[in-house]
Amino acid sequence: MCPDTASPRTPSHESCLELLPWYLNQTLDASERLAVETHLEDCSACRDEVVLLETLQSSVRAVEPPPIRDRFNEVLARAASSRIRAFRASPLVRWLVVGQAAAIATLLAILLWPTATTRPGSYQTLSNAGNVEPSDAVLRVVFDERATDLDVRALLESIDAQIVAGPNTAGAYSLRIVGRPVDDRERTKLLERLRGDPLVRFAEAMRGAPSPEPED
Amino acid sequence: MAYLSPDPSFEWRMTASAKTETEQALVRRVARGDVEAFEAIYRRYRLRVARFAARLTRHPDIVEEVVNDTMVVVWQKAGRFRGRSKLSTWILGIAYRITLKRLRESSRRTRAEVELPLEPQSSEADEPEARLSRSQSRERIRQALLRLSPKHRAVIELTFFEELSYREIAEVVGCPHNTVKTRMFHARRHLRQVLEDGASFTPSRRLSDVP
Ligand SMILES: [Zn+2]
Repeated sequence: MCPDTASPRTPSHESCLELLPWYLNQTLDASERLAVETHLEDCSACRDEVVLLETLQSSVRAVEPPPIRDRFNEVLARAASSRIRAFRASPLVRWLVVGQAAAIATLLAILLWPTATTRPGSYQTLSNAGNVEPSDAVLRVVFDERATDLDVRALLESIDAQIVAGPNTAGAYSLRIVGRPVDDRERTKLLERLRGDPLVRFAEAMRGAPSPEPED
Repeated sequence: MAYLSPDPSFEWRMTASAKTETEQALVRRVARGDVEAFEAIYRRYRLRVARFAARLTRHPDIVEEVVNDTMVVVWQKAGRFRGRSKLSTWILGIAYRITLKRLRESSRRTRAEVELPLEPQSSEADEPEARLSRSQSRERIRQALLRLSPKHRAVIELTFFEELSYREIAEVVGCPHNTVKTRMFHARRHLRQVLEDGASFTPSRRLSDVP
């Protein structure tokens, strides 16, 4: 089968055969490659094996990657909230994050709502606590105190939402959805999505907006 | 290199090695919570991970979950990437472990709803005769690969598509070098058997003709 397995210059037939796939993909180190090349000169069985492996290689390369959807915003939202969960394990880090979130909330309050006080009271009556809200706002949300601005940004991006007002005295932000109409079904989906997110403490549809529950 | 046909991926691999430092810098930024760096890694590796996962499972939902879960882990563990291995090896290793875990979970559920039927075979009857045997042997190889275990398919994919060395593959799948060689050997033996059972396999080129 293999005439020169005993030659000291070449590896045995078996070890050459074993290395052929990586000879073909050109990842052997120099001494392995030389040994394989030398052995191939004299071994027709190994040369036949190269033919088989080339067929295998070309059929592996011919396969297209599966079509998958771009889910970056979703992945980012999950990644950001998973890091928050990891922070909860460490009391020290947790306090740092809470402090950072509080600082950001205060900053936002000054920028967006100069007259509001940021200390949340009761979350049950969010709409009573606010003043004027833009007419295209559809949702009202209170973020978890541990959410950083990065988390909030990622979450909002994942549902194409923008903050249009807030926080009001209850700590609630008003959101609008950019770039697409929001019907009842869509609003229900958004609410479910927000309520299921660990970064959201409270989410509701705006009063005056049509009922968030679908009719059928 | 008398026995090798020109390798179309050579240039790609050169580019990849030139990018190594950039990729390590990207991971360091991800470790600090840099969203743009994370997005860059996501865009660069999304399809590559999807392709790899799709070689191990035929369930499209699992493929998408693997991509997403892998990227979440990249975000979480970026601080632990030491740069001793290539970023691609690190990411594919994460994807490998997640895929196998998913497969174990789903095999506990009913098998019927997990495995999709094989995609319909291309209508080879329409093809010119010259291309018939090549396409038949490809199809037969594809079928043979599907009958291998995911661990064996992973070694094949990492060798022939990702073009990793057996040492790098050992890192990805977390086993000794010899296990990688053994898995590859088993896969090849199985493949040769399937091809020899089918009468019409003819190699596209006889290497003994090469001077
Ligand atoms: Zn030999």
